[in-house]
Amino acid sequence: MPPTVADPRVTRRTLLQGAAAGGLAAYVAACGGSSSKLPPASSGGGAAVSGAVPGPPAGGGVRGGRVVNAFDVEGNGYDPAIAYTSTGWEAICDVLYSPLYSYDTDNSPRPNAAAAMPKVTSGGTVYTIPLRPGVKFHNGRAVVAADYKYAWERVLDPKIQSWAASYIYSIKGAKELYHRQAQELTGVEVVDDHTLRVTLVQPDVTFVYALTQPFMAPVPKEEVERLGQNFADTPVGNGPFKVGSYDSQGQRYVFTRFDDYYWKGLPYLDEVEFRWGIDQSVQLLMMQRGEIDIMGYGLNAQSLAETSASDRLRKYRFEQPLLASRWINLHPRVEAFRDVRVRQALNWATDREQLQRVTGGEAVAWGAPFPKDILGGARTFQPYTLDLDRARSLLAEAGSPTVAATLWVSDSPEPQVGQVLQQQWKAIGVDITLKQVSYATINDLSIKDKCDAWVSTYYAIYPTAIDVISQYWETGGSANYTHYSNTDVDRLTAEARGTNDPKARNALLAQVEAKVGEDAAGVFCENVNWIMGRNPDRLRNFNYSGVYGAYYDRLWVAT
Amino acid sequence: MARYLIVRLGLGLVTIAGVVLLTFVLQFSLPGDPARRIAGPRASPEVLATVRANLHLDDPVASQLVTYVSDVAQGDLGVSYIRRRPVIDLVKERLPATAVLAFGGLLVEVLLGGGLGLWDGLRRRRSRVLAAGNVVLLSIPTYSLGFLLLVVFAYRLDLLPLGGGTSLEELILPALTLGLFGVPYYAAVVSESTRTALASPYMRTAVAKGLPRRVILRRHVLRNCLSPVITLAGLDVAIYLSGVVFVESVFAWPGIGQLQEQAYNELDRPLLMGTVIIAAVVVVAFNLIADVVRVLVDPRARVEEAG
Amino acid sequence: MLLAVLAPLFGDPYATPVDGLTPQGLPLGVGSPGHLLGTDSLGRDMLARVAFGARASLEIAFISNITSVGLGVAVGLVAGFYRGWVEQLLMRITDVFLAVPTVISGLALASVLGTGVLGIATVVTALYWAWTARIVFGETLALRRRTFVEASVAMGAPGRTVIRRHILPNLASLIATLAAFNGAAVVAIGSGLSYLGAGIQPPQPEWGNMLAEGQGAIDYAPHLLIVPLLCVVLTVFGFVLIGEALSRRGAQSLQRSWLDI
Repeated sequence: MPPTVADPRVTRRTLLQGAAAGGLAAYVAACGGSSSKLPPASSGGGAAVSGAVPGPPAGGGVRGGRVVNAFDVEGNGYDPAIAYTSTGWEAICDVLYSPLYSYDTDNSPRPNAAAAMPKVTSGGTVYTIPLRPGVKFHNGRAVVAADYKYAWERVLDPKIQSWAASYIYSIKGAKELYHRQAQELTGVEVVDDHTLRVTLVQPDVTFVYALTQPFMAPVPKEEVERLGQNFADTPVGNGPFKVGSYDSQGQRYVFTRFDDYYWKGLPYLDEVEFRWGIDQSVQLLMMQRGEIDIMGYGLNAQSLAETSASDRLRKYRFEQPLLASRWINLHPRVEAFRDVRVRQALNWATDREQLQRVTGGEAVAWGAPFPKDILGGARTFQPYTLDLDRARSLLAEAGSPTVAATLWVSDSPEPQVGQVLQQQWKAIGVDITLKQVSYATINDLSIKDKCDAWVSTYYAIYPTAIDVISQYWETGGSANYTHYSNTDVDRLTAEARGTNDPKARNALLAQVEAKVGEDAAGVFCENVNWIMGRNPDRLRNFNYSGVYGAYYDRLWVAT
Repeated sequence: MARYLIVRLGLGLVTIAGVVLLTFVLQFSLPGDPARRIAGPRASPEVLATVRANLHLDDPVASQLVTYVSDVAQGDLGVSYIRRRPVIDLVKERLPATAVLAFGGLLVEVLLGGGLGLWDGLRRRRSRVLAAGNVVLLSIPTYSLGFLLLVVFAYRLDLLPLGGGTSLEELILPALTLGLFGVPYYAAVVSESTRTALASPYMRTAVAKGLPRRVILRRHVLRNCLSPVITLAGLDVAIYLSGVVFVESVFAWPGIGQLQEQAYNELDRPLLMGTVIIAAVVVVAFNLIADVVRVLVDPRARVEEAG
Repeated sequence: MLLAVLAPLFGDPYATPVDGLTPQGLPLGVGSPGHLLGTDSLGRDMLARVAFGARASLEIAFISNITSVGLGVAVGLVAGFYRGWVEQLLMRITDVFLAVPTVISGLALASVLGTGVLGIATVVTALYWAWTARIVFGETLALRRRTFVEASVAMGAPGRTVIRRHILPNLASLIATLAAFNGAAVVAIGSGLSYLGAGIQPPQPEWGNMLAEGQGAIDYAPHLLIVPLLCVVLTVFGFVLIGEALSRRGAQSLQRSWLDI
């Protein structure tokens, strides 16, 4: 047999988790059977849970059983400072680790491994965090404040190469530590075993969101030293499950119940198993046969079509909106794109309903810059819709320039989006050439100002628009490769960073969105949904967070 | 023979060196920044700079090459960027599964393809049905073929497992898929050789001598087919052992192919280079073995090579 | 081929009409009104697409077949006939090409050479010539030791003459078959490259990228796979018949079997 070329399909999830380590979900209530139909905690096998566990309801479950979650590919290890994709990210969230704070159903942080919300003093620069007593590592040792300091210093160790290092730069001394100008993280003070005091360089309302992330979870120094290189595969954490067996060769990882978990009564499951290296079409077959319970990746274009075409498969779909949006970047290297009227014309010439149809429900039509639900009702910007006449008259106003550009697309659904846009924009005389390459290539070329236009999908990990602005729309933003710049945007965003009141903050951010939208800094296309597969017949109290993945601690199975 | 072997082994090493050089150059033409793949798209430019420095990505290419070649010469293939484990360990744990699948696939294609080829070759006219079947087998993408087999035999009929393991039961479908794509080539080559043998002068002699049909078949026809089959098999084992991505991906078979796929996706250069070098060693080894076996089965060639 | 020439008659392969999909966003099946062979996942007419796709696919198949088989046969013949250092040099180069896994070499080459018809044809040539060379080499070696070849060499016939008179005719049938099969494999490679985003770029239709799209659709829209697949099968079967006819003319002496007397 002659050689054939292989198929490293990059799926949506790679992109999603790659782009963001998950997107924030506007939380949607339990799917797959509501717990109220089942015996309550007191009668029969139902277990009682003490305390206010943040997130979706946790009580009333039945102990026992196991759940198998299949992934397309394995992630980049299981070290909380390093993992950011696939199995790795899912494992360090809500399986092996529990962070200080977790998002509640309204997306606001609530104490998890912390005893209470932090006390913020000194004009928003000092955070005093009380730790919850009784939190233990899987090796039995109690978690103390020093374990947090150690974990954060580890994130800032340049040898560890953590992606998250710059995410905690607001802590005093973090930058110095990362650049080896200091020996320790001076901004973090261990007051006593159960109190941490963190000093920031300047007020930053997003710091509390950083504390909800798994890379900020405590790490036991003695285990890192004992396990050495193996800590990346079989770490010791403080979460509801501990390492059972890791089988790299057999492509499966079994996590077992941690009996000393601090939320007494949780978790319900005896075992959680991750498997990987399985194609989605095969995963769907296995799901129907009861061999797996969850498809941990978001469904790819083909699975989306497959599950919406077949009545038999539709029940396995699990959908929830995300705080995520998609747009086309327009680079000023194309002369016509420097004219705001041309950019607006493209926005008016886009039929987002058709885009929504070809992407199989993965996204919904949305003509505004920020994710739909991120401004908490403060939105003032009127999203773009299809209006060809308006598009044509704007182009005429701009002097009917020739608009020809190359649109770079990577993985599904970008090629589909690109091909449809190409046809739609033809209607107003815009000539688009498509170029399909890997995501990494577009990233590289757009940094070097070599792309005319490309697709961006933003997934929020913080429930505030500050994050998307500081990446894409602020002058000098970390992913602002179109060099968009508006002094009003910069001023309003800086003001929002120091504004503690969420209402006032969102009002400022809504103004930012209106500026970005009126400037037509991109062609705003869609708000992205999270669609995955799970077996509703077997799973009870299945909840999913765009940030953390499935809530395994409160998940149980039908008996 | 010994001298021949030594020379071939020496040349094999040269080939492998060539591959190392070629792939080292090729990897630079692959797009994307490995630092960003390691640190994730959210990493700040500062974090990226640190990662690049740690990996010596900004060193001159020549010095990177020297470092790499000297490491490889000492059997050190580096540490995977993404999995953060020694590449050699990752490849080692995948090799057994890959080998099992490769030989399974080979068995299917040699037996099925060879059998069909012999049948076709002995017919007076070539079978149009076989030719058409061959074309269909060649044209259907491996992935679709595998998936169809899986749906029919594992899902609908429930005769075999859906995959995800490496047991004998779980080997049947992937080996069949792999083998079926090779069947047309074996069938064509064996049929061709059979016809050539049947039409050759020594066949006339053998028939004239009145040898029984079975003896003629075994002694003259089958032997004539051996050489091309060995060439094909040597090529196939090598290609299969260096990773078959489609089949592994349909059947969740934990082989080298899946590793390569991930290495490419993640631009994990040490892992990519590691799998390439291992593959090169395997290919060179099997081409060598195929040549030696051919020399052994053909007495004439043996005399020639020894001389 | 007729399909390729007449392609413009079958409509616009790029148009994405809003009614080209079901309300659920799924492709229309075979026999839908206005779309004889249905539509693809973006609602484009499949008939127009396979017809236009024939152009790129046939071009790639022809070019790369001629180059890869030509180069492979030349190298294999020379190495197998002349032996010695020529053999070692040529076959070790062949080994290097065989030894680099196709995933890597195909992708790297495609990123250097571009993704047009010529680029893809070059990639396929690079992947296939060594494979062909290796097989032709083995066969030439075997033929080289045949009495009639050895006899003519012993009689002092120049190498070129021996190759032309005795070796090439005996290989003709095999080469023709391989070339025909390669026609199918070329489309398969094209579909593999398309998966990786290194094939013929969308929205241009090509059988390879259509197959790539259809592969995962067996369950809900089998025509996405079957329509281009049938095109490939029919075309390649045509190649096989041509190859057979050619080989029959090339080596008439071999067309009898002594066993059947």
